[in-house]
Amino acid sequence: MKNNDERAREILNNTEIPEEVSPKNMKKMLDEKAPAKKRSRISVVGRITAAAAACAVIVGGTVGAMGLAERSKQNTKNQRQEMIKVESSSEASGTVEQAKAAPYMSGAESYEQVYELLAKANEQALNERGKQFGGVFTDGALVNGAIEMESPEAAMDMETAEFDKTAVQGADNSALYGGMGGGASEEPNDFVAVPVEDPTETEYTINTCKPIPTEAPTEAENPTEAEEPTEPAETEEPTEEPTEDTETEDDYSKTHNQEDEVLEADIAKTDGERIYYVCSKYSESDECLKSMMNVAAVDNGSFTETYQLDLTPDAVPEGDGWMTNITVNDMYLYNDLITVIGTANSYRNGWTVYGDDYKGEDFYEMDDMCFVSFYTKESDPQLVGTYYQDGRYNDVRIAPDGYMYLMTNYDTMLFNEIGGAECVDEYIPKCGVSERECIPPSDILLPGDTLDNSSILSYTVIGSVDLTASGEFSPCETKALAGYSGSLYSSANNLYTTVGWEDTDITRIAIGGGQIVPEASGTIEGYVKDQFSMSEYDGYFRVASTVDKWTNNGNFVTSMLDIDVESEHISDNRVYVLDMEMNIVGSVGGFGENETVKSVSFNGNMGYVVTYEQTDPLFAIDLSDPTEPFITDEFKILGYSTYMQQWDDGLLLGFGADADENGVETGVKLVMFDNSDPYDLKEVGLYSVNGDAEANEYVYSDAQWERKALLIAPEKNLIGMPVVVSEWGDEYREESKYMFFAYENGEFILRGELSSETDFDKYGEDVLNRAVYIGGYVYVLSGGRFISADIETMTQTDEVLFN
Amino acid sequence: MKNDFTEDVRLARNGDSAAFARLYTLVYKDMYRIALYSLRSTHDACDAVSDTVLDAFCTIGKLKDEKAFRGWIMRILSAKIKRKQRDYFADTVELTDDVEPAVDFDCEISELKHAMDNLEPRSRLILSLTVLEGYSSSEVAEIIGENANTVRSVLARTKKTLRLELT
Repeated sequence: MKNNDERAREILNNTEIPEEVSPKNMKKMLDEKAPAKKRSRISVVGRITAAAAACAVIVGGTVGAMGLAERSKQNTKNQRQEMIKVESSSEASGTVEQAKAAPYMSGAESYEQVYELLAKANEQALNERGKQFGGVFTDGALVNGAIEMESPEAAMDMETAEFDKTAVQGADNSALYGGMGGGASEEPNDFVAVPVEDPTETEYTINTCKPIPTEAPTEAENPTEAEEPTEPAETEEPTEEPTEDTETEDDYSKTHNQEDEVLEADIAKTDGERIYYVCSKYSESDECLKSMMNVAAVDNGSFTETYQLDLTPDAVPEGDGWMTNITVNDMYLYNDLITVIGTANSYRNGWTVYGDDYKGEDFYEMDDMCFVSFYTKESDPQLVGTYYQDGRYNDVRIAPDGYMYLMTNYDTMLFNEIGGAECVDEYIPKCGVSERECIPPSDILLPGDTLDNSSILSYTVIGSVDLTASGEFSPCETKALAGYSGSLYSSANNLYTTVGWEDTDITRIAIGGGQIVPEASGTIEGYVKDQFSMSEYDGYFRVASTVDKWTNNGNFVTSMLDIDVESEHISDNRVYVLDMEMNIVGSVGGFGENETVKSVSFNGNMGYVVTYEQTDPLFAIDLSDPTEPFITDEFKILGYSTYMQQWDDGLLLGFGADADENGVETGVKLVMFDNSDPYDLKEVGLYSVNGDAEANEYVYSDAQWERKALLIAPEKNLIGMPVVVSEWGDEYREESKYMFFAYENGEFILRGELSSETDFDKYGEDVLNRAVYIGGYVYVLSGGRFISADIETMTQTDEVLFN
Repeated sequence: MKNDFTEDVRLARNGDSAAFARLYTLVYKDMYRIALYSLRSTHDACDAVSDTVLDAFCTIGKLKDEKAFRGWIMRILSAKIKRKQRDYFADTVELTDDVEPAVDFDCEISELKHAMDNLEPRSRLILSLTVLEGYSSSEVAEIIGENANTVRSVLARTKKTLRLELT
């Protein structure tokens, strides 16, 4: 018996998809129509630019009438002031940066320099695209603020002609609004059908400059030197040891750190007295997603006190009509602070701005920033403050010296949408505590005098926050690496960022005392999967990569028809050794052909790499001579590991997907490798949990994509993994459980499991996905409940629910 | 799972229509099904889908979070569908149900199908987004730009009518 949900799905799915909407035809349609449509959009931007140009004339006059001293003190929120700000910050910054400039990557002299680089990159990208479309885009005029509306192609269909006509009319209106402050129009097209209440709020102005809520630029010029208020705190510091990971006697579990002293964040933490868990959950009463922190005080397997803290209000930045969703990603307990890290995604469109009856042209805008809220670590946590940094949360570390480094990825809109060099906050990332300010030009690091051809400028933004004083935080420095966006690995003294697919650029950034100093960069072939593919050891940087070569490169039809066919591309894997100048000194490749890197574990002079196609070859690589790494052994079993961690001397624990001989994934598994002899790898223990496919039963684990969901505690001989068993039988049933194992005499012994029926409607909120131990008890956690059990017997001792 | 999905978004943002088409393959069947069920006309459904594709391709530069691609394109599709639905109301167009089931349904299914066919346009959009995409009511609310409360009550009503289990 199927339920009606299934049937309804069946009915909806039971439709022929007409050839008309096939990807192939859509591609054709795009190639025909997109250039014209885009041209019409270019015209739209042209209107705005014209308005800005009109504005610029006025500014010129204003500046002339104002004294220099007055300029920098102005703090009104209008475009003219913003333009002044740009000017004066560029004057001052050039000299400051000279001293700091590294030969390969130096700070920008001004925002305009950044803008011009992007303009150039955009022009090149457009030329490339022009070739692709068989025509040439000429929007260079945009940069100069002129309106370009002539269409080079004469042959246009009716629809295209309409687009351009609309654009022309719109252009006039916009110039009117922008230059003269508004006025209604009776043009009978879509644009003017907008319910115009305040002309500055119409869609024409949506993409123009937003005023930056910043102080005068001179004050923001050099935050590094300006903000050193931590001196007194640092002198007191020896008496106030940071509270995480410093006392080795603690009898509770901690987030496993890839590098011993470099602390990593997670959604769940404990200090041995309380358990903290952050999550986003649906609030029935408020009808929206809320970010919550669930906290429970524990005492020998009992929950003695619980509370929930709504993180949302502390994380939402100033509103101005945007719809904001808060997602909480990670947290720390460090130096008497609870630190919560998340992302605030804001969006607006026609309906959110003008209401339900909006009939104008569709538009969508998004604004993403990362927030870090700090709370006092008490039974009643109080907000200390929130730090904002533009971009999407990527990763974070706390270095051994007590400074936090937050990395976000920030992309601008398409160059055409930016609206001119004066719209600084459209292409320069911002950060700050109460109000976000544009990062000063000198802290925007340029990769040279060109950017890759692109209409979008991507940045990696790295901000450091001083956490050395107990219960306090203080932002130190922010650097934005222009034309750059990737993943992060951190040793105690260096951050490494990677970016790229076919080739990966790696940049080493020295850290210490809150300073962020890019020192060297280099390039390797292939892409880097994650942080565990990288390692710094003994003055060398080791990195594993997969080279993906597409056999059907450029052939659209084949690439599309076979999109999911692995054999479409040829892969090859590498391990490189680089010196601290990021020069390759040695490499080994050619292993795991047609397979991709699934997990890597570096351990001293050895590296272990799992690649996968159908079986799980584990390669051991000897790296003791950096110039001559070589493979010592290869060992194959079914399935593959998504994560590996050294369990004990000579034992490497793997967790991942189990699969049958045909490479069909059947469930999850734990595997122990004996790596005591790198020339003779062995499997010494395997435990798999497989679903019964015939009974429509499927098994997966959150740990397959989040290794922190595992609890790996050799000191307690305890391995924990979450498993979800779902059954699509007569009715849908889903069970979430957390399984605990001991490893003894070459096998995994199941010590017990704690489970919880999940409510499918809650979309995963109930799934048990973390576990910690404190003393003689384990605690299994989900967004909806905490369960405690005796560590020896695995019998449940207590449970608490969080709504 | 290939992980070049976000890479395709990046390429598409730079005007690569092939990359966009690859992304489109991930969603087009559901897009078409939602459009068809919501609009009840293959012609209008094809129109809505191709309008969406054109708009999406031309504005993908504004999509900052690559991972949000699916929700984002559904949002554009919903806008197109809502606009067409509004036109239906405005012109009191006689709806011609030109959708033929491709196979014979058993009795129970045809009963359900009948009930589904008789839903009003807004419920259709909400139901298809929920059933095909698995969105929660708050997610649907965000996508179609309506009050979460409204969506929840529409869905509750629909659920009752169709005897569905979903929220």
